[in-house]
Amino acid sequence: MEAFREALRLVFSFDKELWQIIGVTMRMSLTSTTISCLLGIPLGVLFGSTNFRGKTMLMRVLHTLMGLPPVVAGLFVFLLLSRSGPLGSLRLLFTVEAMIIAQCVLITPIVAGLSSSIVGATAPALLEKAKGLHLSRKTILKLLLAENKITLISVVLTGFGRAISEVGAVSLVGGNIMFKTRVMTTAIMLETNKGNFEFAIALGILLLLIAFIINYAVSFFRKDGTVLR
Amino acid sequence: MIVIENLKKYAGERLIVDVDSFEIKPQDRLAVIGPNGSGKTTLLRLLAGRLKPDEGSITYRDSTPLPYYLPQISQSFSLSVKNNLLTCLPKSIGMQERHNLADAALKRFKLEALAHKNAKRLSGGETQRLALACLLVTPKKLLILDEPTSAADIESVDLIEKVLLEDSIKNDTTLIFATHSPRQALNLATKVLLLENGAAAETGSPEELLKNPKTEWGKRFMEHWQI
Repeated sequence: MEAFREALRLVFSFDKELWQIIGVTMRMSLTSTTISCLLGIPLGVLFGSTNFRGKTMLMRVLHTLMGLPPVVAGLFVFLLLSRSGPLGSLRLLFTVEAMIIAQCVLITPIVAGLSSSIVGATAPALLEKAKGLHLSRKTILKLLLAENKITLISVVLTGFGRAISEVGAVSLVGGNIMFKTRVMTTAIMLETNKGNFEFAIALGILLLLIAFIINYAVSFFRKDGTVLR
Repeated sequence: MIVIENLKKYAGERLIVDVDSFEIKPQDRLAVIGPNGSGKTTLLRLLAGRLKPDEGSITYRDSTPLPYYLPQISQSFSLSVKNNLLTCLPKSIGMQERHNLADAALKRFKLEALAHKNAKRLSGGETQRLALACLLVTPKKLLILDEPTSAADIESVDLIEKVLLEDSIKNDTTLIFATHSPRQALNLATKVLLLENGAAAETGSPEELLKNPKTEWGKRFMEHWQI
């Protein structure tokens, strides 16, 4: 109980270390979500709305990647960015950029897979009409995005939720360095191991609050794509 | 002119379209009539190029124009009614002219009051009027329509048939449409094709075929409609 009270005091006292960790977390999560969505949504729209040779196998690979264990993603990126790795010369290991790369490896397949499912459900009827009217590919793409904009927003929020709660990959490639690559999840792990429960609980409360806000925002958009009033 | 020769289309083992030989001349208004599952939709999709035949051919001769196809279940785009119309206009037309054409289509199809409404919230009849409006916002030379009034109320049916007939005559349009209604065929068509189990059971003018069907199925069908 005492630890809980102390945690609340830390939150409202604007503790420098606490808010620095939150800053790194938000920067990492927002950047990786943006990049993943810029890559994943167009891929998902393409997969969901077209048929091509090899699509079935590609979708199986995508679904496998959606379940990629975070530490495996972290290991992959670590080996890529380590000094002896192919991208070692970039000296990105143990930086926020490395964490962003690892998160993109994790989140892009999730965004692409979810987008593909969403678009795949609505695309056939829309394409049947649009092609009958000989609309251009650019117009058809705009219509597909308009048709699914609400549910695609929920995909973006899901991607962000995944990014902010990630711990395995980011601790591998980030190193959990104080005032540099320490994020909320890795800090909770460290502080709990150190027995510094007040700090861990403070971060936990804030992480829970962010997760709640995201989940509320996701559920705010109904499955059929309309906004609940 | 569109020439069908030995056209076959299968769904697995089942033969769903089997038309030996048929011609659709320019400015024909062809009604394709048949019960559910008779192959009307498949035939129309083959004619529109949305499906490829498994056997036989569909040949488009003498500079046959591009076919514009309206599927049976035609959902509106997630835009306002007017924006649905604007989307269907070519970008080569100037902005002012596009708005003029869209406004004219709204008026013809009695959709003016709904111009700014989300098209997804329209009733079945309004949706079908909008679908036809999108198709006819500019003149078309070859139209393929799958049951264009299936969800429409009586007033919408009358309006759609009136506009289709007027436009077809004015623009020398070749019109191919599937319908369950012999009355619609009588109102709109110059030629009728009766389909049964994917095959052309009978063909002829609406008057001779609908009033004097030769096949057993044709007679049963017309008795039901009391033509």
